[in-house]
Amino acid sequence: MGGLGIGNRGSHDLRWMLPEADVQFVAACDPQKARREAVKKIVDTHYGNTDFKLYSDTREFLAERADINALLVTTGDRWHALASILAMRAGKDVYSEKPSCMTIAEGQAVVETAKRYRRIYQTGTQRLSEGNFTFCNEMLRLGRLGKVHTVRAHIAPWDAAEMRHDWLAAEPMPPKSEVDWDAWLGPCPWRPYNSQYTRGGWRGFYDFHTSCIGEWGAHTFAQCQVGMGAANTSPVEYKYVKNESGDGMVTRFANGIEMILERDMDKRYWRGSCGVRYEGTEGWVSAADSYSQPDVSSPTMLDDFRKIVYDYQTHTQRPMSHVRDFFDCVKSRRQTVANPVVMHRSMTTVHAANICMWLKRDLKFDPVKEEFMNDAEANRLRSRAMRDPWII
Amino acid sequence: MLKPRTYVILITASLLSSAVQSFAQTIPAKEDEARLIAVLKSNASHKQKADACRQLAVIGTKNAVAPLAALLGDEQLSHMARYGLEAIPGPAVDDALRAALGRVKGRPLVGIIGSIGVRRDDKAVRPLLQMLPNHDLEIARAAARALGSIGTLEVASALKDALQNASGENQLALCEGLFRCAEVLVGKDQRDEAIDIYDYLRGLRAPPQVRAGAVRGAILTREEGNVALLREYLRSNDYFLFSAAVQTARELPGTEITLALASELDDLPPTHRILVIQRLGKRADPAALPALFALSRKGGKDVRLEAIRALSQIGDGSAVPVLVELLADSDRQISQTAQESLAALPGRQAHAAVMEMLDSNQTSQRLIALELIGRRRMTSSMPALLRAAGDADPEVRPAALRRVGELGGPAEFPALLDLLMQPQTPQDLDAVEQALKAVCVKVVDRRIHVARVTNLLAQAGPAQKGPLLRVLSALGGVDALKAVSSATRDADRRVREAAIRSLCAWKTALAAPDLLAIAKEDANVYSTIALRGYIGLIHKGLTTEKKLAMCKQAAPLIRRDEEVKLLFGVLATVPAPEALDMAMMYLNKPAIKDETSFAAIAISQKIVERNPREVVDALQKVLKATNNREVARRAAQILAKAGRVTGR
Repeated sequence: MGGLGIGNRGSHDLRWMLPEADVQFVAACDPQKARREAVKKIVDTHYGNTDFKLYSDTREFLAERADINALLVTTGDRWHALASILAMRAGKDVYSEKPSCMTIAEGQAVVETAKRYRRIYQTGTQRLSEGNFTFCNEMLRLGRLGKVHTVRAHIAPWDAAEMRHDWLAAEPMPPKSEVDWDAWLGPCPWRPYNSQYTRGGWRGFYDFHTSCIGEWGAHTFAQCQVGMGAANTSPVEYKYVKNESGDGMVTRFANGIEMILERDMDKRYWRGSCGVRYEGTEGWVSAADSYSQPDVSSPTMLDDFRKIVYDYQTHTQRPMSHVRDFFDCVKSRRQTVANPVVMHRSMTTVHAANICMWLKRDLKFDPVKEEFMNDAEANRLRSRAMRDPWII
Repeated sequence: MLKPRTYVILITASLLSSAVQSFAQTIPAKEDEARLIAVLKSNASHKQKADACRQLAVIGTKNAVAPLAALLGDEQLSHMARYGLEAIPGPAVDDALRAALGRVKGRPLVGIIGSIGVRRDDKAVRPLLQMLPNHDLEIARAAARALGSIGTLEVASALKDALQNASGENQLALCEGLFRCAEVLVGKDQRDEAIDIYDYLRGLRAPPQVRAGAVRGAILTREEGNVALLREYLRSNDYFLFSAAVQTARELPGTEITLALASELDDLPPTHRILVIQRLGKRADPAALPALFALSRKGGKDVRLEAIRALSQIGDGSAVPVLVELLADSDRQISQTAQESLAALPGRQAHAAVMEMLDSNQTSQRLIALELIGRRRMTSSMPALLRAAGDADPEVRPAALRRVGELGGPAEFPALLDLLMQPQTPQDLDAVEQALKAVCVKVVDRRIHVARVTNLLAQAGPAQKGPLLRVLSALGGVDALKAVSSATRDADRRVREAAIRSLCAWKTALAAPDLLAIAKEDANVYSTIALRGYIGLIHKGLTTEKKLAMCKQAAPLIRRDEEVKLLFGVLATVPAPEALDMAMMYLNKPAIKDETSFAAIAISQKIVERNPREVVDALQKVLKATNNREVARRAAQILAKAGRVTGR
């Protein structure tokens, strides 16, 4: 395996992947020297040698390392889709952190490329491989909640849907060998260098981020859509809400189920991060991070908790480990749990909800044509021209 | 997942960032176009012009095309000019981008070629073809991809020619162009031409991903002969090409494809078989059943398990007898998987098989049937379940009651109450109580049910009274509270304790006054239970003022350190200086000094912004009293913050 853009979150993924017996990390690429070297230290320490190789240029890395089967893509959001596409074209399977695309068009391109080259791809929505959330999805699939009418999905309780367009003050450009600023920006519009961006301060900027909706919606929308069997479609309606974040936005799927975006500042629906709640005619179930078990409308629902999670694992043959699922699929060549379609459709929901907030009006979306109905401005926001030479 | 510290950092960063929000919002007003165009033509800064381009991408009309196109050759602004242009509909943009091909050089030219590809301008084929052999490889590769997106026969021919001598990244760019070209041709119903491209690519000495993709395209695009080609690759020794063929079957409907997959199963090695079986399951085509029946009965265990799983995915009732037969398999994993598949198999045939098992005279069969009834949500089986709840078999009764609780609703309430009132073992009584409590959650009009339970309470013996009181607690409401409260004065010790514990388990703070009254009685086991229950109810969605008032009521009644710790658990959630004062009262009790300190710290964190002086007073005392380094560290942090707030 190789790594692209391994920083804080990437190091977490790396430490998760390194103990897997059938995985060996051999090289990484990053436009920032300090991050490259930090990764090398982790990997070399783990393997007890100094074999790990470093690259600063993505295309050179992909062209030279034909021996690498799969890539861990943990760049900032701006590079996720582009790096995944370049890697898959080069014959690599990809595990990409989320949010995995900046626009609807980028998501489509990831799906097309994975199909075109028969690559295995997993987006880092790891809660799709966790017991509590799996239990919630299974309760829905097994009909234990009766007819489900509402699902609630957590969005990040910080930032806003409207994002920053300002530039931070220019700082002296570091040597390219330290930070390759042009490569860091990748397909995004140019702006002057400021070290804050490279230290994680890119969040909240329109060019680099997908807002408070994408921050957690990338997880929770995917969970809800997989749970309700809508992983290959998107909501048909988005109702604008007059607040900064999209809190309370009602989206509706063609089957009538409403998915409501919730910041849940008063902890009405869950008590942790990335919560989801499914409500049906016969009860409700919800989960968030750090729960020992999901919350349920009736305690008896939890009687079969272990069994339901175990059954899910046996009938799907999927482990309760997101990275293990990826590695198993790399070997077997079957689809991952968070495959490109799951990523693209749930991220379409993220992007459409953002566009709804930016335009400050209700939107209707055709999930087959993948276009907004009777709204030219919304349709123009489905893509952004990529900066040369990082075009796909 | 973000760690709490990261969470705090992000929130802080967000607050700071909102203070410097740019004026340039994402969506401009429609009437701003002229102003934005004027910005492009002015001496405005790079930033202002970039913002104008971005906003014109949303609202720009043909009026914006020329001003944007004028920037295409500008190294600094070329990308943003494309950013604006790429989204504007109409031929004027295509004309402008095409015109720029001849005058722009270097990186901006790469971008322009990319935008032409995105817009699929077929008039650009000629100039782009001239760029295929460009010495600047970035330009040549961009041209290959853009040409592919436009997708004509002329393009296909040129890309194939260029591929003759290409290698490495150039080869991949040309292959990408050919893939795109084939996809466009399929869209134009030029299938034969697309097939030519895929066949060419699968015959090419190219990396595996190209050949795998070509196999997919070649099978998918063929309307005739696709089955034969699929079979050819199912027999491939190259796992990548084999798996590409299997996954391609996902995109091909029809029984012919199902049969092709199924008929190859016998000749495949086990690892290949499993992938094909998984695909057959996902296809849900009953035509695969005969092959899967055979594999589920004999062969390697992994293959058998996968075949059994696939049976439920296909969802056809004819699999029921096979699955029932496999329930008796000597291999536990096989029988378990058969049970799971039977649970997931939809339809009346599976329902009927389960009900037949429930009528069996073997306990093991009946327990499996009860398990399946729950998993299949067989609400129509309720009469049979209620019968089984009164069965002579002690293993069957609790299992049946669990299902009644799970699947039942208010309609089952009277029958369950009848069961509760019959003489029975403590285990049975507990099972009935659990079923009743599960049904309570689904009750809409609780008054009727409370009345029923209250009436029975008068006739019930001590063994039944406990469960009835707990059911009342699960139902909740004023009437239920009245009945339970009255039972706290029952002569029977067991009933009295059950009533007090039922109050403690109340879902709201409605039961708090009754518990407080008991807690105020002379020290005895009941007053202790009641006090702990009272403190436990303080958590239930109350205002800060109400919580504080309840804490004040509880504090003087506390006699043990355990209750102090419970109180701390509540106080730590109350953001008020009075809560801090209450916690600090216990600082001089050595046995709970650390707990007191941590409670004080937790409250201080919540109130330091508003009440820094009270926090300073309290935490200085904590610092004096503690030897705990963690307490000292956290107290010092909050004191520093308090200092910043007060300006010291």
